[in-house]
Parts: sequence; structure tokens; C-alpha cells
Amino acid sequence: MTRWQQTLEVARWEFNRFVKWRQQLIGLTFMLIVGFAAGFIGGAVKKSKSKPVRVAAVGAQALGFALPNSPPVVWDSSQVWTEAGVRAAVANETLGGALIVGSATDAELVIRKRAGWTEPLERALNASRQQATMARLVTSPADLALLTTPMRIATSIVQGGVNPVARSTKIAAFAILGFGITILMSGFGTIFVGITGEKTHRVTEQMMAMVRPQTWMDGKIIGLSGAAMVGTVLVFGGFYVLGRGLPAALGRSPIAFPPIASDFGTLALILLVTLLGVAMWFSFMAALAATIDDPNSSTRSILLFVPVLPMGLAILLVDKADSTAAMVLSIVPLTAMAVLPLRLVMTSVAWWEIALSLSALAGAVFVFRTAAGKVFATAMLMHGKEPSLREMLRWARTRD
Amino acid sequence: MTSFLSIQSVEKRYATVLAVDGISLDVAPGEIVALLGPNGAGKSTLLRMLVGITRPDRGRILWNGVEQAALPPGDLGYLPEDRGLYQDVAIAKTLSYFARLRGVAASDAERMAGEWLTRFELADRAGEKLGAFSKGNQQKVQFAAAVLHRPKFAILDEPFSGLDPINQELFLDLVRGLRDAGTTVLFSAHQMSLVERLADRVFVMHRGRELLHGSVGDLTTGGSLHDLYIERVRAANAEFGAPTTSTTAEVS
Repeated sequence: MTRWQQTLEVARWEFNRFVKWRQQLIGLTFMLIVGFAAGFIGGAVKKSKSKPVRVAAVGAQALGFALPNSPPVVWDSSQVWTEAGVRAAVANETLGGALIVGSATDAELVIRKRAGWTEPLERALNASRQQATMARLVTSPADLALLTTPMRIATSIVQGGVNPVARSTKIAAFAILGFGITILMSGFGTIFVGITGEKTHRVTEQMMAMVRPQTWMDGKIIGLSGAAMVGTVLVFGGFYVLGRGLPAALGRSPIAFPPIASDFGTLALILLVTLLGVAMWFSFMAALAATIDDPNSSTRSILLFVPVLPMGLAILLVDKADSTAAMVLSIVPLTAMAVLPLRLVMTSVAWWEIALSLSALAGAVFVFRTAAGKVFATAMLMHGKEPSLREMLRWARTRD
Repeated sequence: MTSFLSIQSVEKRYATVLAVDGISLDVAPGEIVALLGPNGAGKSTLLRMLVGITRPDRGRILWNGVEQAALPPGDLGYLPEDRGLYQDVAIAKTLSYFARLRGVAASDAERMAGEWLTRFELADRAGEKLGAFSKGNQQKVQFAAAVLHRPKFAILDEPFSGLDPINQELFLDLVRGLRDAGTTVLFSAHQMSLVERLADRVFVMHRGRELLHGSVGDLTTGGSLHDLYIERVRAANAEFGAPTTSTTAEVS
């Protein structure tokens, strides 16, 4: 059996160990059921909130304008109310509220407690008052329209200028970052169980008698990153189905998800960068996990979160994708997985920057995976002690 | 006849400890050789070098006359002292996986795993995870994982450790069965009575060096292997100024 065949065999094993299709589909179904149920319940709650609220007005003629329409408020006209009468009716909940008008500039809203409808009613009353005043002061309907209609201002960017980032593009950028973060976060779990757990259960010697440590490491990186990706795709797929299906089920227009990339080439590039980045960071995490002797007491596990830091940095660059800092960080391998996809979505990236970034990232994957294999070979057989950083660097530099 | 395995003046040092100090040993095809010695004598280190997990600092290891780190995975079976298999996977799947890694075709691997589990009367528990088994049954699964692929050379590090007498007899028969099927066996053990019944030759290590070496017949002419072993190890300990009781307590 060749090393490549062994690598694939290990990758298949690790993938199947962590991708439990049945459980994951059950989990996804459960997520959709909970999501739809929450959506329906939320919709029902919203509807219940819009139940009409009967409000009576006393002395409304002093306002000088008609009582405004402000759902869910329904003005009560069943009788002529007195001030004492409305106070009593609000107190015994016959009325939802009462507006006692003293003058055009002074009124009292009587309620049992603050509710969602009170502030909109106050705003509607003020707006109606302003409109009535303007109508009184401005005699020409054309002037009145001029006063009440906001000015339309169209923005045009000169050639060579910088286009403002559309909201949908930002959403796409955040979606890509979220996807990367989710893969890395789910990698923590699989790598801990798949490597530290394996070391704890002493499977190591049996395995190392069959496969070279580098082969084992390569297979693990492929299998575990594949498992993390499948989990992430399922979660994001679930959100997509919810985003499209729930509004439709509630009779609303579905959420318009922004296209991640404008063309297939850009999408393929984003996927390639993500794959390379995942391979690099999973190598880092795998080497680290192999050095952890006891997951319960080791402080080293906190370092597993290091790969998420560049993703956080990239969030800060969402509005500065054209900056020099973003350009440099998209080429540096440690930040390329986070920053290059962001730039590909948000701005135009020169071909040489893409080529440089991909080459540097591919080189980093090779270096990380080779160093990780060497650390892995020694660390996996070390029990009762965690190697120091100096020891790990020394192992990583050794020749085969 | 060329030795299947030839260990020539092999040394291995861990920091300041010389774990294996100039060991030479030849194993002929079809032999069963026992590697004995007190705890810490260097047996497991030597066996790890034979399977390629660690490399000797000095000396040579020849397989069929050719110097190489280890036999190809398909020709070698290894039961390590540090036992461990996947706790969260069905035993049949683990056995099949190990066989595939050693180059057995997937369909054959499943069949062979089934045969071994049937032999151990565990066929009806093939879908269970290892954690659900008793220590003895776990050891059976581990033994199967080591030799499922019918290796040409099997290295068994303390195969009888922790087994009850009934299972010790079973393992004795299994190792004999391996030899009958053409597998050469090198094993380490502390159970002298079992070694006497199983091995063709005995090689005793002490503090990384050879202490005693010969055929079981030759070594047991004047008494039991157990008595000879105790006598020699105590004498060696005395020479080094080490206590003479700690070693005997570990020998059964």
C-alpha cells in the first residue's frame, strides 16, 4: 500500500469517525424545526401585539387637528368621555388608554403601564400637529408639498473613484468570515478528540507501526478538516433554508441573500483560499494537540484559538478592503485565509496579488504540515510531560 | 540459512539513560523467541526500534539480510505494551481499518475481522465499542488487530499481561497457531512458565545489555527457567548494587 493510499485511508477513517450523517441530519432537522417553530411563534406574538388598543380622547377639539391614525390605537367614539370617566375606565381596563388634551401644546396620556404603542402615538400626534401648523401657515399646496417632501439626491462616482460598499456586499463578506470562523471553531473539537483523545487512549504505537507519522498527520488533516467543513456547510445550509423558507411560510417575501461572489472564478478562488487556510491552521492545531498530555489540566489548549484571531482582525478591515494594510495582510499566509476572500468580495484585487497570496499560502501549508508531522511523531509518544516550545521547534527543524 | 531478523550491536539512548546497549540477536524464520528481562531492561525500546517507531543511535537492524527501518506494514504484526484502540468505534470497524492500513483489500479485511471475532466468540458483539468489553476481551481484540493480516513477523510486547489462566492458555495456542501458519514470533513476557512452554529460544536483557541467551532446552537442563532467571538477575543486580527483591516480585 502506498503512502498516498494510506493517507486517503486515514482521511476516510477520520472523516467517517466525525461525520455521523444520521446524527447530523437529525441535528439539522431539529434546528429547522426549532427555527420554523420560533418563527411561527414570533409571528404569532407579533400579531398578538398588534391587537387593537382602545384609547379615548377628552378635549380633542383643542388640538386643532384630527386625531392621527397610529395602529394599534383605535380611537374610542362610543360615548362622550369625561376626564374622571376615562381615568376610571383606564384603571379598570375598560380602555387601553386615554388622551386628555389641555391645549394645542399640552396633553396627558393616561395609561396603566408603558406599552409599545405609546411612543408611536406620541410621535404621530406631534407629526400631525406639525403638518396642521404648516398647512395653516403655507397657503399654496405646492409650497406645502415642497416643505413635506424630502429632497431626492442621487450619488454618482467619477471614473476611477471609490464605490461605496453595498450593504449586500458587506453581508457577503461577513458570511465568508463566519464560514471560516465556524470551520476553525468546529475543528477544535474534532482535533481534540481525534488527536489528544487518541494519544490519551494510547492508540499511537499501534498506528505508528503501520503508518509513518507524516502520513498519519496528513490523513488526519484531510479527514478532520473535511469533517469540519461538512458540519459548517450543513449549519449554513440550514440557515439558508430557514432564511428562504420561513418568510415564505409566514406569507412574506424571502430574505434576499447576497451572492457571495459575482462570478464562478471568484467563488472558486475563495474556496481555494479557504481550503489552503484550513489545511494550514489544522496542521498548527494538530501539532499542538499532539503535545497536550492531559486535556483537563493543560493550559496549552488555549492556543488552539490562535487561528481565530486573524478572522477577528479581518472584521476590522471590512470597511477598509482597499487599504494597504488589507493588501499586505491578504498576502501574509497567517492572515490570507481571512483577508483575501474579504478583498475578493469587496474590491478588485490585482492578479499578481492573488498569485502571490496563493503561492505564499501553499508554501505555508507545506511548511506547517511538515513541521507538524515532525512534532507529531515525537509528541504522540510522549506521556506524562508536555514538550517545551524549544523542543517542538527543534523537532520541527530535524531532517527525516 | 539467512536470519529473518538480525540485530547487530544496536544502541539507543534517552537523554542520560542508555536504554539499549549493544544488543545483537538473530531470529530465524519460523522461530518463537522470548525477550525477557526486568522492568526497565530495554525490551520495549528494542521492540519499538524493530517496528520503526524509534531508530537506533548505533548498530544495524537487518530484515532478511537487508538493512531497513522496519518491515513493510503488511509483513509486520505488532502488539504494543501501551495497548490502546479506538474507544468510540465498533470493534469490527477498527479491526477492518487496521487491516486495510496494512494493505489488505477492504472486502478481505471485513471477512478476516469477522473470522477473528468468531474465533474469540465475539462475533455477536462486532458492532459494540471497545469500552464495553472486559479487559480480557479488549486484549483479544488488540491481539486480533496485531495479527489479522497474517504477518510474516509478529512482535508481541507482553501478550500475556493481565490475562487470567484460561485466556493465557488461549493466547498460548494463538501464538503457536501463528507459528504454524508461517509467522516468526518475537515476544516479551514475565511469565516464565508460559515462556518455557512456548519459546524456542530465550534472550534475557538487563540494563540494556544481554544477560542470558540460549535455547529453552539448553537453559532448562539444570532446573526451571524461572529459577535460572531469578538467579542471574539477582546476581546482575548485586553487581550493580541494586536491590535484589524488586525484580523478583515482578516475575511470575
